[in-house]
Amino acid sequence: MTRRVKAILKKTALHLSIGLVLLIVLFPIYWMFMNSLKPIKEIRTQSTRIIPANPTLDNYRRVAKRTEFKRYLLNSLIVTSAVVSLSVVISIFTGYALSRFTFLGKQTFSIGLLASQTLSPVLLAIPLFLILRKLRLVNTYQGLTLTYLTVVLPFSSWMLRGYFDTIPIELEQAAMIDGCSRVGVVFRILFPLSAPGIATVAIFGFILAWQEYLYALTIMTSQKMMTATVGITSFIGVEEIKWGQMGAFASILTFPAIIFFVLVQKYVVQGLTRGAVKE
Amino acid sequence: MSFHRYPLLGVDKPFIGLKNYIALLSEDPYFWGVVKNTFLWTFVSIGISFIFSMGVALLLNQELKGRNVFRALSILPWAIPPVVASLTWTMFYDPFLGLFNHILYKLGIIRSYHAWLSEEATVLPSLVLVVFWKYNAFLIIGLLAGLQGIPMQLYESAKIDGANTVQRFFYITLPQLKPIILVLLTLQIIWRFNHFDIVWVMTRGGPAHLSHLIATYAYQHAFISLEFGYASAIGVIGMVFLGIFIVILVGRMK
Repeated sequence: MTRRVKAILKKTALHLSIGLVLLIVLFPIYWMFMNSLKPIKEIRTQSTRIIPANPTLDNYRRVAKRTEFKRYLLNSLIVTSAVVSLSVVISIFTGYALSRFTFLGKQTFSIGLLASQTLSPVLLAIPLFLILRKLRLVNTYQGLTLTYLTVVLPFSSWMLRGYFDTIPIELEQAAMIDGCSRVGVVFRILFPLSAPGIATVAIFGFILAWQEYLYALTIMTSQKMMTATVGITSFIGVEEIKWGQMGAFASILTFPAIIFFVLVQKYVVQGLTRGAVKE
Repeated sequence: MSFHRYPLLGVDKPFIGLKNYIALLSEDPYFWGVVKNTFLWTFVSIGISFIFSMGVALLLNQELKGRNVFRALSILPWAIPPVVASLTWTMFYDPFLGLFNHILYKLGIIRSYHAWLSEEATVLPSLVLVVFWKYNAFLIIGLLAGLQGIPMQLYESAKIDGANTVQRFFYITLPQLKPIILVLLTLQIIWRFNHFDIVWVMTRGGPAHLSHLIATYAYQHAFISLEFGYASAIGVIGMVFLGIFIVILVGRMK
C-alpha cells in the first residue's frame, strides 16, 4: 500500500471510531429527547422506535399545565442564581486573600479547603441537616443556598487563588500608588484579567446548583419548595411512570445545562486542566 | 454523633460509645455486602472508564477536522443533570419499554428480555454502566490535556530508534502521564466511592438491599429510618475505608 492510501485509511478509521464513540455516548440523550416527543400511546406500544411516528408537543403541554412543575423550575432558578452570584463574589475575595495576604493559619486553611472536597456528601448531610434545623433554615432557599455554597466555595476560591497568583502584584501596587483602594484594585485590575477563571467559577456554581440532588432532597422537605432535580422524580407514580412527561420535563431541565455547557466548555476544560496538569 | 444513639424523633440521645460501630460491623447483615458493592462499583467503573477514556483521548489527540466539536460532544453526558441521566437509563433498562433489551436481543447477545435493575446478578453491573457512561468526560479531558503536554521530540526520537506504535505508547505515553493519572484517578476514586445520586434514583439500593452503596445505605438509615447515630457510624467507617485505600494506592503508585 502506498503511503497516501495508508494515510487515508488511517483517517477514515479515526473518523469511524470517533463516530462510534459519539454514537454510544450520545444515544441515551437523543432517545430521552425523542421520547418526550412521542404521544403516550406510542411510548407504550412502540417504544423501540428511534424516531417518533407522530411527534407531538403534547407532553410538554401537559407538563406546562401542571403548576407544580413551574414551581420546581422556579425554585431551581432562584437557588441557582443565588449560588452563582454569591459564590462569585465570595470566592473572588477569598481567592484574593489567599493569594495576596499572609495570615495565621493560612496553610491549614488552604489544605482544609482541598481536603473538604474529599468528604462524603452523605456523611455531611446529616450534621448539616441538624444545624440547619437549629437555625430554622430547613426547607428554605437560604438553607439550600448556604449548603451549596459550602460545596462550591472551596473549589472556587482555590481556583481563583491560582488565577490571581499569576497576575503580577506590581500591577496592583502601581494602581495603589496612583490612589486606588484595595477593593478598587480587585474590581478594576483583577476582574478583567481573570475573566476566564471567574467564568469557570460561575459555571461551576451553576452546574452544581442546577443539578444537585442529595442536598436538595434532604433539605427541601415540602413539595412547594422542591427544586426541579427532586421534582422530576415525582413523575414516578404509584402505578405507572409517566415517561412522556418526564422526558419533556427532563429535556426542559437539561436544556439550559447543555446550552450553558456548549457556550463555556472551553473554560471548563481550562479550569479542569489547571488542576490536573502541574505546570 | 456516631457514638450516640440518635433517633431523630426520639427524646433521649444517649452516649453509647462504640455500640453503633460494633453493631454495624458484626450484626448488620447487609453492611459487608454494601462495602463489597461499593468497592466493586468504584473500581470496575473507573477501570473500564480509564481504558475507554484513554482510547478516546488518544483519538482526540490526533489532528482531525472538527476536533473541538468532537471533544465537546464526547463530554456531553457530563453536562446532563445526574437525575436526568438516571431516569433516562431507568427507562432504557425497562423490561418492557426499554431499548436496551431490544438492542441486545436484536444483536443476539441475550436470548430473552431481562429486568436489569431488578435481578440480583444484573443490578450492580447495570448501575456501573450508567456511572461509567456519565463520568468518562472527566478522564477524557484530563488525559487529553496530559497527552497534549507530551513533547513531540520524545516520539520522534523513539521512532528513529525503531519503536513501533505500541511500544511508543507503553514506554513514552504512559510514563509521561503518570503524575496526571495519579491525580485524576485519586479524585475519581474519592468521588465514585461516595457517589449517591445515580444509585438512589435508579434503585434506592434495592432490590432487597442488593445494590446499596455505602453512601445510599447511610442515607437510608439517616433520613428514612431516622437513626442519625447509626447512619453517622456508617459514613465514618466508609471514610475510614476510603482513607486507608487512598493511602495504599498513593503509596504504591509513587
